[in-house]
Amino acid sequence: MTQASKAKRSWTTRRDAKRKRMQQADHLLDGKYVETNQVTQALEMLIHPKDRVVLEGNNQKQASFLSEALADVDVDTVHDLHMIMSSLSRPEHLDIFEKGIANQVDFSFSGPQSLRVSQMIEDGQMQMGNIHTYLELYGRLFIDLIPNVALIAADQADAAGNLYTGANTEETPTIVEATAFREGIVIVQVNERVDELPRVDIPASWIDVIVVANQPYQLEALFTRNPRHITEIQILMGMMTLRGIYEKHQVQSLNHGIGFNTAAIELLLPTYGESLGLRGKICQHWAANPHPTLIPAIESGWIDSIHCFGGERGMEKYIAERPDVFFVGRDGSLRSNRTLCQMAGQYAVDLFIGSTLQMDYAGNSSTVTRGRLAGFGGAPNMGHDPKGRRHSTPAWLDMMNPDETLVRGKKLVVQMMETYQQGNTPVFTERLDAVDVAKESNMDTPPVMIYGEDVTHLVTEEGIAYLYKTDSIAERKEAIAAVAGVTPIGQEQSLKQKERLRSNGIVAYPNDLGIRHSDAKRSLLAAQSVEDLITWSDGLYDPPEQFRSYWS
Amino acid sequence: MVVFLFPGQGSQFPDMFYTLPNHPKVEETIERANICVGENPYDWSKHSALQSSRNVQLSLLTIGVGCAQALLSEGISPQFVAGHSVGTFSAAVTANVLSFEDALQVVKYRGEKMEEAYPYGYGMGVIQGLDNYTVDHLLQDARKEGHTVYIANENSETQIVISGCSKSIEHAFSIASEKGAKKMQWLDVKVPSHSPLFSELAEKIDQKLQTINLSAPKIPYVSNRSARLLRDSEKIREDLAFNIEAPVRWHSGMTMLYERGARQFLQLPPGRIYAELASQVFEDVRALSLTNNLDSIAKFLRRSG
Repeated sequence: MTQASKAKRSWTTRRDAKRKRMQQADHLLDGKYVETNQVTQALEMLIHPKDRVVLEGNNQKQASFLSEALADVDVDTVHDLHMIMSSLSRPEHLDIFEKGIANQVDFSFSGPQSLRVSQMIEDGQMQMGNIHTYLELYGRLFIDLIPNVALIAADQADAAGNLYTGANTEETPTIVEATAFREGIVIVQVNERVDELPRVDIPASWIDVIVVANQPYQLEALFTRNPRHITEIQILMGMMTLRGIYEKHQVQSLNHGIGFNTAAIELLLPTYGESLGLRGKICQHWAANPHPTLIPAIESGWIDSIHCFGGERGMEKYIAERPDVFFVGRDGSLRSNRTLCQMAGQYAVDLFIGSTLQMDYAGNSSTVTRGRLAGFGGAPNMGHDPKGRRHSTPAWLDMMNPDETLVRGKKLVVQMMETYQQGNTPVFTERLDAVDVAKESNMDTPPVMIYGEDVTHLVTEEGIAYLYKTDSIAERKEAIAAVAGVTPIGQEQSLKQKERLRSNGIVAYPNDLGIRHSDAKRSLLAAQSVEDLITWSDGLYDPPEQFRSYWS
Repeated sequence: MVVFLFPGQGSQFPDMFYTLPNHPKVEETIERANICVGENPYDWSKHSALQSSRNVQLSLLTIGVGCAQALLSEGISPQFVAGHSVGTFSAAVTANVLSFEDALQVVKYRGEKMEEAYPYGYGMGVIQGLDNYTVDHLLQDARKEGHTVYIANENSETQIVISGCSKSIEHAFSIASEKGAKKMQWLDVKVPSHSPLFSELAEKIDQKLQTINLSAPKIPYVSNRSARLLRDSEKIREDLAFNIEAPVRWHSGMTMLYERGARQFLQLPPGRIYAELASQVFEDVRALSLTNNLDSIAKFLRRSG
């Protein structure tokens, strides 16, 4: 091909477009700073119709000032945006669609707005791309959902525009990277402007516009579980899990989520776990939020390292004083990173443990209920077996099927729940609500959280089903039934069937694990209240107001 | 900011007019009803008079509007209004969509025709402990067997009101019990409201409403049938007319408001069932009912913005 035959084209259209937008807004800018009360005006110049806009917000940190400002823009100027959001969770997130400012969305989680999301899709006010897992959504930011504009939140900025995101760094670097390095515009709200940052989390050259918000970004204490509310059934299930899974498979690295079930396990490590002589043998490396209920295990030397998705309110001072355990900056404060922690939780840990509202007879689970579109955030990332993994650990190798020529291990994916949900609904169901929801909402696939084929263990108050040992769908169903208690599927099963599964090691009941029901007492918890957690932390843990119970 | 909740049939009790807050706006509203209908509203709530749906509906409208006017005059203006069944008329009047007098005429017609259509042998009941989906399927099966019974209202996820022929409701109760329902109970309503049995009447009410001058709502109105926020008088007219032929999606409506950030709910008289439901369903909601303590409620709402 000769040079002459090549059509002339510009290779800098994105750069030119960005420059033009920035020039239009130039009169509003003092360096990178825009006045607090001029932010809506700035957005009207910097965002164009049909732009792909990432609005930072997950279940912890929210760019709440910018989302309110975006909901206020003139819809004749800014409209038909394609929003990309980890989480649809604040009322104005939906108002943006109701007003016509945006009409398309890709997201991961919308629990707090799930009814309105469902209504707005039905009414055609919102067109849904997909409900993604966190990692898919972050991945797509670099492939075919590359943002034109990112609206993000940080704690502090300096005069040059460097950012400090501290404990709540979360997905900020990922969003900024996808935007800044392909000529998108990065707009950040900061809680304050300071002369000197404690450390730089995002360099100034990645940032275009900064606004000091009229109030700090919204931050929820989502992962704080008050030990007071942990029940003895949860303690029993925790004991079984410790013995029958963590000890049995020598689980070294793991993720724990938000539940009271897993909070119970965390609080059993220094007591029950210690009595089994397991310290230093299991649960040393974590991909988890800094749960306050981890404090007693940390203090008694169980935990070597914790990498965090995000921060947790009240844990700042404690974390700063435990740099051997947490990832911290030179300033001493936590550095979290949701993308990297999700990736670690997907690929690098031995075990994921989670809970669900429904499980079908094949072991597929979902938290979706009719009339709501909620999504699952990160659970599907961590709650599956990444089949390409090849670093061998005892736990991973334990899942091996020795009959295969090319033997390989499997990630441990544990589902843990009581057989009956609140309101007397059995957790086991022949068909997931998700199947109907998919039909009602014209989704390509039913919103399953964790696929049955990936679930290796099921824990209920009845016992443990070692599903990885089953060799057919029928046997899997039998194993589920064997721990399904008095739910309909559980009642179908005969004692003889249970006995066979038990002798084959496919199910284990508390007795088989050397656990008596009468041992599962609240006194076994290393901390029984938030006050106990404060004591364990040497007074460093400073719980948010709603968890202080001095009056109760 | 507060949401006003206006109750529907089932919340009435004898002599309820005598228990209302002592406020000039309440008295004025009762007087306006008296002039407009030509009857003494106090008589509507006599024990024997409450046997008539028409009297119940006229009472609820007058009481709802009167108490809302009283609160408005004390400087309490709601963020949203939501009425249940005939309560939608109180909500629409409060939102300035139609005049109280026009509402009285339509509600009088609505009540009379509902009663005329099904003078006896019909009613409503509530099933607790089963979800909407389960009850829906149960009733579909019952209808296949020739029963006349429909879902009338989703009060909460596990509290479903059904409507239809009394014998069919009894049948549905017995099936519900087999399926694990915790409690079944008859409601104090003599007509099969919110069911297709009223499709024809709904059309007629709509025709009547079309002759009336309707304005855009000053306060967003929660639809009974779709659980959407309505800001348009045409859509509100349809909801007022056709809510008697379709289930009231109360729980979805309340959830929609909650997702929009509503955290304060005030049930206007009579009763307190909808306030109680709101505080049962949503942990961080403050739900009150206005019994006779108008002054303290008004003060409280003014203080908490």
